[in-house]
Amino acid sequence: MIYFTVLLASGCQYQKKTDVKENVLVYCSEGSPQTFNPQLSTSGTTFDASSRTLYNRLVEFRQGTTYIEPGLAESWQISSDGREYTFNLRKGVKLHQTEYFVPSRDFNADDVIFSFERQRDKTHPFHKVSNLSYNYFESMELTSLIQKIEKISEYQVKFYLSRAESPFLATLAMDFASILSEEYAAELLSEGAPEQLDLKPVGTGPFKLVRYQPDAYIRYRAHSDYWRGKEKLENLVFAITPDPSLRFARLVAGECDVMANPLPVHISSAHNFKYAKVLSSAGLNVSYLAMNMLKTPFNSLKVRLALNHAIDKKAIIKAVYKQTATTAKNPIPPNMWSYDDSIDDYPYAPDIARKLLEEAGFEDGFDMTIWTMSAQRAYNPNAKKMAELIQEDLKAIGVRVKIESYEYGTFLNKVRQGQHHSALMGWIGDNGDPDNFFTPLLSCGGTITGTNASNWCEPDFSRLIHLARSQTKLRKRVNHYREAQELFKYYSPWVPIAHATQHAIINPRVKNFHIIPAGGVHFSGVYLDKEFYRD
Amino acid sequence: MIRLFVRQMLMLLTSLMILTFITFGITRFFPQESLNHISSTSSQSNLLNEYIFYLEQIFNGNWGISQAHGTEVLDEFLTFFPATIELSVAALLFALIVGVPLGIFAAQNKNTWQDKFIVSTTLVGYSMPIFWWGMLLVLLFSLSWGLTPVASRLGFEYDILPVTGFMLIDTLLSDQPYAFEAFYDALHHLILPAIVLGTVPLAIFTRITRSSMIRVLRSDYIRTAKAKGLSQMRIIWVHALRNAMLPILTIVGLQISVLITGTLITETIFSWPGVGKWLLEAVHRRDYVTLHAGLLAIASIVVIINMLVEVLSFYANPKLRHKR
Repeated sequence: MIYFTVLLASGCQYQKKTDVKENVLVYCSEGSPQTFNPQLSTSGTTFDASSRTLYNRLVEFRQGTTYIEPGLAESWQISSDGREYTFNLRKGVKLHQTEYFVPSRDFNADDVIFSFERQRDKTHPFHKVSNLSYNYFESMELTSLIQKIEKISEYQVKFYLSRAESPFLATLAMDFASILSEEYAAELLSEGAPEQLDLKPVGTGPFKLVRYQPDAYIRYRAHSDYWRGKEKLENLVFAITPDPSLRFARLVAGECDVMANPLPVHISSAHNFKYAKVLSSAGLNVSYLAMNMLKTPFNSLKVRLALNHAIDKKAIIKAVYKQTATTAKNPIPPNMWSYDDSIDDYPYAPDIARKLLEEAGFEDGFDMTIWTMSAQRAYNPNAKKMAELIQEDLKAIGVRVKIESYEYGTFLNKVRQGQHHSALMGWIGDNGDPDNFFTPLLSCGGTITGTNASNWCEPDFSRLIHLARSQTKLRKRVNHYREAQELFKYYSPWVPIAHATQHAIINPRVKNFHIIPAGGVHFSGVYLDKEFYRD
Repeated sequence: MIRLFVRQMLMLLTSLMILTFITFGITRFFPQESLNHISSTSSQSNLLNEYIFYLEQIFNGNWGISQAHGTEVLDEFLTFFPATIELSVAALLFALIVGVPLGIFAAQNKNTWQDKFIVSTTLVGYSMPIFWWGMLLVLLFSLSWGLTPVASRLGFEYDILPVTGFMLIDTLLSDQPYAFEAFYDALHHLILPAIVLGTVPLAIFTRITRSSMIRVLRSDYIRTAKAKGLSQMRIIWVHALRNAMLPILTIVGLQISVLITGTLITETIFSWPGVGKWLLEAVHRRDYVTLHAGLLAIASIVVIINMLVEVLSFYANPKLRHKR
């Protein structure tokens, strides 16, 4: 009894000595990583813990944007036919020195070749290790795209592609393209423990792994010879906390500095707490109403325009997204390069909409069906509610809407087969390239694979997208995409509705923290305000 | 004495046998691809041979590879188990240190308002859903008053190398400059979970102590002691307590399984990296290998501890000890 009362009483002095806390950033993450090798995963949780902390890629996204900048490759040349990429590798890049591995050499071309061949070559000694698949590598069709990877010298590597593909650079900046250590792999292979490569990682990234206890924590320390310069943040800890309420509680109590995936209720209540600050940034996503142009009356341009005028997007942002989204006018989000902000959106004007319907010959309106999915998605927290709001809006111009809801998988299948009249769709970009939106969602090719839900096939538009795709000069690509956005706006195969915002809640002592547009966190460049706890 | 020991050992072995029959049956007759390597990789198709092979694997420490993390399940179990022991022992201590004096106090003041208060409070404590109780304590102590940490075993700013797995020991073994500060912090993290987990045993211990004490205080030798003019303190602590404690010892053994079930919930509330949370995560992930091994291990431990307590209570009870 005495023992506990003493402890409870001394709890009043719970505020700890601050100097230890000043050098440690604690991130309350949502789960354990599947592996420490980002090649083997498609999960953001794994990427947060591996590719973004431990590894680098040949080229990388500039922090918080989708612009490509040099990574482990200092520079690169692309042949005039766009099929040969030569990368000049950075010299003097040190790999992590850990308790389990001491590198004898710097990063070089062998590491690059190893990292890609493991994923590409089915006979590679590491290909079948860990018994997981290379989902990303395969879904980006790199197995067929990359014909050969050649080591020209210690610090030069050449990729031969089977066709010109300008998003290739952006693909190489994706998490699965992280560069692992070939020397470490060879050492493990000779020791007969190749699976350790994916459990005890060695990379070139800003932090190195110190200790990992599954379902409890991951502890990192700054890589002292990091090629971009040592991080200001000395220690980084991922406190694995799957329960969102507990994550929030820990953040509010000052035990965590950054929390993963806050719920809307946390965002709205964060201002009540001293240690909680909300960061927002536009997400790399779009949510839209796709009108199936193979069905009447959506084959009529005037009808599509009428719907664009008739839907009150601001009301949707308020009711469905609770203000955690911005209205959309283009098919790509505003933080994506080549976004054309000069395009004017069709204003919310039921009068114009009614007039357009009359001109199209639908004085008495028409019947339509909107399909929704039952699952909650990052770009659309509540599709059914959104459909109901649209139903009300369209009633005002005489259009009678029927709503049908399907389970996520069924919904996607049926839409792919083109059975829908109209559907509330959405898309999340994964590599920051506009092509990642335009080609699947709006090209003629997309009508065949079924990802183009409005079945819009405009040869001019598709030609522009194709031109932009095979073009390697960024300026020209931007021009093509801007022109494409104008065409999109003119034909209006969708009603673009919203770009959902991404949120993070952080402790105010965390400085220079940015939200990654494609989701997730990374701590390179982040530092702590050491004065914060002192007063 | 030896006879009892032999009998207990036989009982233990039988219980463990039955346990392995069940787990073997589960892996064998509800085949899970991932469990095959420990149940039927042997070429013999004979069921008995398969069972023997299975036992061999278990005893050799080959419990399989976790489907979720790709590591040895036995290693994982050993990483998480000390945390559970630490928490359970702290909870048990809390329950004993608070519960026994409380029970004595109630017995001394039988039928007064204090006694009635204690009895009714323990009834509440006994029937309280600990999930709700844990949440309530976190809300008050951690979030509103900031007295205790919200979750886990140690503040993440302390980098303590796990040597024994017991945080209180590891922090003291650590050569970090903040080792003692970390020890204090670990102790601090232990308070709330120990209280939550110890609440139900506390209620039970109080009630048992009370009734047992009342019974002893009525007995002749206590009356004699009173007549001799011994002080109340001396009567209670020297003469009555030892006899009154016997039923408590038996109850402690029974409480082990209550504690183990309690850790499942308590560890989840406090994100305490112990076996309970580990198993619950395995359920979420459908990690059958981990589940299978974890359940076998926990069930064995409960059986073994129960047996130990039984032997101990026999040894502590002179009536039984000297019986021929």
